[in-house]
Amino acid sequence: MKRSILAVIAGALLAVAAAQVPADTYVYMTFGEPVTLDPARAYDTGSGGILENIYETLYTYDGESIDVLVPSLAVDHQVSPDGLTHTFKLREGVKFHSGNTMSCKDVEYSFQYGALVAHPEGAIAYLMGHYWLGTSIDGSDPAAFQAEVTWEMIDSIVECPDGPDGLTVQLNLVNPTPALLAILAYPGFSIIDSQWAIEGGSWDGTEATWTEWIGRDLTQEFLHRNPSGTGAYQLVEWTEDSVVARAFPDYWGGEPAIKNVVYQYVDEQSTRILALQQGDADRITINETSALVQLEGAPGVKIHRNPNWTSTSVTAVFFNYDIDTTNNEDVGSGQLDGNGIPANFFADVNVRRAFAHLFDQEAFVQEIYEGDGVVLTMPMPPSFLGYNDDVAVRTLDLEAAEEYFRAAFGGELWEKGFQFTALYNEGNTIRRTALEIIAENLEFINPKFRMNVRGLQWADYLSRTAERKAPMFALGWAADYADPSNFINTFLDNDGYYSPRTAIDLPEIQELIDQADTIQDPAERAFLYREIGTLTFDQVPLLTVPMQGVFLVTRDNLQGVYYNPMYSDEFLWKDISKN
Amino acid sequence: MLVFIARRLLLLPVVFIGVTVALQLLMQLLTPYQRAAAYVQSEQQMNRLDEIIRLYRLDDPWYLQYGRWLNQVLHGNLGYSRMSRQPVMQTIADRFPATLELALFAIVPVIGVGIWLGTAAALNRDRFIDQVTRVMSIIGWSLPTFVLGIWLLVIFYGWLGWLQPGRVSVRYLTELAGNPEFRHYTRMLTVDALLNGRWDIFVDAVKHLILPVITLSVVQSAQIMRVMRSSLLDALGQDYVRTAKAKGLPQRVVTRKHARRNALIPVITLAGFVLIGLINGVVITETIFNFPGLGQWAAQAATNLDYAAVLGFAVFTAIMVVLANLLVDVLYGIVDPRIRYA
Repeated sequence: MKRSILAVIAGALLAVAAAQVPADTYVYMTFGEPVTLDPARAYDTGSGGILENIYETLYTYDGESIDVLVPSLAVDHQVSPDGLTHTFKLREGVKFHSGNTMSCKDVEYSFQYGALVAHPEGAIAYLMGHYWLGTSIDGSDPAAFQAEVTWEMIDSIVECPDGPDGLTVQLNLVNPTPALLAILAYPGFSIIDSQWAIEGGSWDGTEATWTEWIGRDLTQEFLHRNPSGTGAYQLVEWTEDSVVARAFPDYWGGEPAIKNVVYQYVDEQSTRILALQQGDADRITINETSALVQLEGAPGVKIHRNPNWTSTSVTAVFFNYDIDTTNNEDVGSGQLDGNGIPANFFADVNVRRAFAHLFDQEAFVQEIYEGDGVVLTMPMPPSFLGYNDDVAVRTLDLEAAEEYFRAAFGGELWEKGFQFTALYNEGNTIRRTALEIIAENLEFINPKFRMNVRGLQWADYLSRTAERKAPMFALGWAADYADPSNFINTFLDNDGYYSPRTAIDLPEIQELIDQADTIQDPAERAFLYREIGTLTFDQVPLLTVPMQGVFLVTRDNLQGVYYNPMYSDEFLWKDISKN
Repeated sequence: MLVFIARRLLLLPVVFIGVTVALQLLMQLLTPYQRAAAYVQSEQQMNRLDEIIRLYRLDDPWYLQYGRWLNQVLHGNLGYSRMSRQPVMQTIADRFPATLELALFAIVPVIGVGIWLGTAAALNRDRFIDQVTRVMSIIGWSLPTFVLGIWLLVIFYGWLGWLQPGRVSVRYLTELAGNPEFRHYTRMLTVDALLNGRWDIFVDAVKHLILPVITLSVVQSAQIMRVMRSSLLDALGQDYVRTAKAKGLPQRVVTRKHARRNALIPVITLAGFVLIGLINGVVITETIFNFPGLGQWAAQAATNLDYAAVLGFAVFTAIMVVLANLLVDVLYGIVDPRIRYA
């Protein structure tokens, strides 16, 4: 008797072979859970991958294209001649997952909420603060925030000329930006269901309580786990290791082919690979190209590659134009005496040019990326407006490097020599390799030249570069929105995001950046950015590391896969299907 | 006995304060900058270290930070875990049932196999079966969990396709998500499936438990087997065993009732620790088989300096250790009446 029961149980366990994912369900196995589902706080790809499918923005990308923005929740956009007043016409009859109908009051609520919370770990203050409030200050210090920002300023960001339930939205800026639609396509500017949020205990939308929400920790609030958006999918469950979403039957764009979406967070890569091979996952995340060998040619598996696909992350080796040399072991003596470098070492353009001739992007693509990569002529993704393909690239040329080193500091540098240490964050092999190649090539130039390479823990790395003590360091940037300013201003502007670390100040480039910021016409802007590209060759403001090729790994029955680098997960769930 | 238990429970607050203060001080070895950097996920946030320090008041003296945390705890709130994106209490409530389920399924084979093989080895000292179990225990104990786990996955999942990682199949995951008809009584999937009368889900959940349970059994039962063997050998050489034999008692009764019972004392001590280990989550096993238990979360929390999670998990562990020790002490009394507590 006992035996027969055991036999039945064993039979039942083994009879069902590993089940394949049903045709109306899409399973993505990846790592990195969302930090939050509140658009005002989210600033990571884990959150973005979910948010961009359950919420929507006024304008969005058109499939794979990143420079064409198409209407989403807005159907029309007009801008005043001074670029400060933007009028949007909203789509009619759009329903939120809660059943509420979207109107101007929701746009007003969403933007005001994001602007007044101004969370230091979110994207909104950083991306829009300057344009709609005139300050990028964040809410980490509520008193300081209130000293600069008043309720009237928050209140005037969005107005509803046709009343709160109308479909006309007027967005008022205090500083113009030609990149407005691109910025507003970022998931942080998703349109929130105001009635749902207020009823759930989020900010009540009034002046009486606005100060309580400045810098508030949103991960403990209602919208963190209770989204109600207009997207094609609604959240069903977010548990410790998965997110489950279901197609929203009242979606304005029609019901999508995939009905259930499951994100499973699996840290172990070998487990993810097995799951894909077994058909238990439709898509998986692979960390390194080297792991692809196991999947190349595996039955039922498809590796999507396309030479036109380029990521929107740029890595570069940065020069510090004004090094803090006090108590700084990385600059040796801190003098031009052969035992160190002076504070203004990299301010000499000939030094920068010489270093550019110690690095070979093409060889880097061949050797490090195994041929799958793109050489950059200037520090921004080639797919962005104004990228200048015609600029020459400085390649490995030891004679040219010598010539520039001899010209630097009036010949004194060549006589005395120098030594310093370049930094990278430990664990990042691409950055380390780029620096090591430069250091090795430098040895051939002059025995008195010496560059060391040293890895630091992330925390020490951040503080050391922030103190402007790192003479040369490798870091990167991933696009927030698809506009050249997101890279050029970040890297090269003397008031840009990297400027506290680099003290960069190149007047010729600066003039073009400032000009490009104030005009709206895309053709004129493209021209200015192309000019910046030309100057990049001459001035060598930094050294770009080539971009790595992109690939996606899915089952071969997954249809409609595309690659839009602006989406956290490359494509939207509503655009795919399975056969 | 009750006095003894009460006295043991009174230890809890002392352990609680000791463990959490020690952890708090340990974290002070890192500068506020280093702790804030754990919040920075990308270059986009790197200029905001000062704001993050200010926002989370990371530069306050340790006793102020500890005081704030303690105040929270006294109000029944263990704080917010950045890694699980929800309150610590909620995380423990969500993840503990999965870990407990795995522990309960694993503890029977771990202890059962350990005692059984250990006894067999001791009774057949230096014979074939003893040699085999000794070699097995050395292999089992020295085999890294991740190697064994990945082998099992490759064989039973990759090649044969019989068993899967995770806690439940995707079709049940989507069916159960947000489904009000399936009641979660215990949040242990096997138990809930039976209580809801869903035999198919029960089978599916058990299938997902098989590989992690085998992994744990191989590794954990090895040490129980070793202790059982040596302890029983020791007992078999005692005078009272000889006396029992001389009385003419059957060999079975001598070994079972007289020798093995006494030999169990060190095994119980060890089993208590094994159980604590299982209940606190088994990091590597949970990670490889993608089993959403406490161990997975605690490991992530520690590497990401998730302050509230680390402290909350420590409190949870401390409570478990005190309770498990209590259980072990009570079991001593049952197994060996000579051990009495006043």
